Amino acid sequence: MTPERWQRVLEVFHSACGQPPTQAEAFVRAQCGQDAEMCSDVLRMVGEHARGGMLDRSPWEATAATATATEPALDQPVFPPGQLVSGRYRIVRLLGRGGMGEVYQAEDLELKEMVALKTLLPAIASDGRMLARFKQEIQLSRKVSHPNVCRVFDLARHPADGSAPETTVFLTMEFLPGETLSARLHREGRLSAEAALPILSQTAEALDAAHRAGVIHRDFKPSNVMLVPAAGGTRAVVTDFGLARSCAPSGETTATLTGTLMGTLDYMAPELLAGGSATVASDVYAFGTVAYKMVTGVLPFAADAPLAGAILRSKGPAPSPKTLAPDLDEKWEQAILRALDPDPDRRFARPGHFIKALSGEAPGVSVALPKVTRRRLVAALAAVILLVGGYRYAVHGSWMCQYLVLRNQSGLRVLGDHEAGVEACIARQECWQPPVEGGVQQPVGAPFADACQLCQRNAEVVHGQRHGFAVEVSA
Amino acid sequence: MASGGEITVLLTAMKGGDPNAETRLVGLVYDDLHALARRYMSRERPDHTLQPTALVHETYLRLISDSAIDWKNRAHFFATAATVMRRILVDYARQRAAGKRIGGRQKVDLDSFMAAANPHVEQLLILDQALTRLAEWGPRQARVVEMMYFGGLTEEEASEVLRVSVRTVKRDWSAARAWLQGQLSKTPK
Repeated sequence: MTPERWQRVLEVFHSACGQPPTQAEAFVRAQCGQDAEMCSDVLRMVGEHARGGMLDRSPWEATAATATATEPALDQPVFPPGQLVSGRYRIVRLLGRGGMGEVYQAEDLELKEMVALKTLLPAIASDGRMLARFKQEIQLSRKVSHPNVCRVFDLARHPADGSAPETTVFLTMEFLPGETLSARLHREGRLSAEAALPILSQTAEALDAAHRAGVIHRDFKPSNVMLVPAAGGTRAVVTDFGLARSCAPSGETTATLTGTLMGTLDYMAPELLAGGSATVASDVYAFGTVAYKMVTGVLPFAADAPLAGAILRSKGPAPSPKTLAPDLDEKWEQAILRALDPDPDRRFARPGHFIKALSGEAPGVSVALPKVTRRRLVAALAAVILLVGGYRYAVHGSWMCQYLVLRNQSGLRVLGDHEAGVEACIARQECWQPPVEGGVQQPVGAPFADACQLCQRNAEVVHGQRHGFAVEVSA
Repeated sequence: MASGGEITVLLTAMKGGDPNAETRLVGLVYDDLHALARRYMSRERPDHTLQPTALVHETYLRLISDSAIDWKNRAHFFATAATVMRRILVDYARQRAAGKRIGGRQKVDLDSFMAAANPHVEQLLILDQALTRLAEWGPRQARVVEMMYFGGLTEEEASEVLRVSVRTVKRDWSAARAWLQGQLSKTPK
């Protein structure tokens, strides 16, 4: 390669990274024209850009690498592009990684159409009870047929006949070319009411349809909403119905523990934190939180760590979104606050009513004074303390945690996202990491040493959640 | 051990554009960093985790007692140290890959470190070669990787050393990272 050619590669690569993922490939091909070699070079780079690899981890870090040895699949995708999976699906590319596994775009060779293929982590797939629950949830979500609900097709295995010792369990579902609402919010900060409305009404319809079929989403959040460019606007599609629940690892103690605190804490209704079960009302609460985030750009209970936010939430009503978005219409303000009412009975009966309230159609949109009783607060805190009692934390791998709750002599401490090295340190229950502000990771290299310097012995990890599912906790 | 005064002179010469200064500086700090690395890898750190920044910082403090050194010098020192640290790590990997005996206590330490630290010794060597090639046509991008990956420098420090914006450092990193990873995945393991 020459320096001039490299400059050109850099230009195309950086521009391609700024394109929506679905258009990046076409963009690169157009830019490179006849130069097939440059085209393949840049496409390879664009592919690697979205993928984790050895450069993401300090070469000097031993702890993380030790863990990698037991879970070698983390850096390398399960399926390379072009691979024929289960004799029927041809892998096009890796779309991303989620809490449950990897998501690919694949071509269904039987039906000649694109599908999304979602692999299940071996930890889920190899656990009989978890897999059974997972299947049950798939059956449930297949009961919902709605244009704004992602269609789930099937659960299958690769290789299909189970001949190899290592079989991969995967799910096929509707392929949705576009970006998540989460990505859009990340890019644009916040949305105008005009831009937010069509997305919210479609997702409200999706949730309403699911609720009518008796399916509670349980984990409604911006990353579970796909925005698909369509004729006449954007089609918003809700994904991952009911899947959150099935991802709790099985086990005597863990079932209750994780059953209580599943899903994403940021969007979780206060009654769930207090030990209640998921209902239409808790989905309405999550919907209100998403609406709040869309029009203000932030969560209603912003805190250093998700659980800290959750505790704030159980203490009182949400602050008005108007303080952050002063030009927000009053109807929006009232609808959002009603969806976020700490009392489930005072929220909208279903997400669709939220949309109606925006046009003044629904009766009784006035916001009642929030009812914050001492009893409610005590109940919520008691639930937290109950969860805290006597659990220890075991780490199998180098996964990053969404949060951890730690306890030592001086009390409880909630930690946000942090690096694998720190996690391993905490897992040995030796030390204490300073809270990470706003969930932002600390600079590479610094956290482990800092954490160990700040070590306080006898800290106990009482609860934690890895991306998408709870970590194993043993009594 | 190199004296603080000598290091300072070399750093100043290096900033003044003297190409020999960096070579000499690398030679000077290699032994110190090497000794430190060995100490870090020994049993006194049961986690076997080396902190590149801690390592370099300690060397820096040991070598430079001159309190008048400004931050720019420090950043340059860190950048140089990154080159050294790449060499140290790659030397270990090479010895290990070649199955060379390096004798005594050192061997045990290094072997146990490399075994724990990097199951992909081969990968590290491939990365090193790819980085050398990248430096031929994209010297700045290669340097960013060297400083940040091997030396543990932050984006801000790298931008200071290279006299470019943090944004440029970020872009250089993401492009070089993508290219290097492409090279790694191309090569059969």
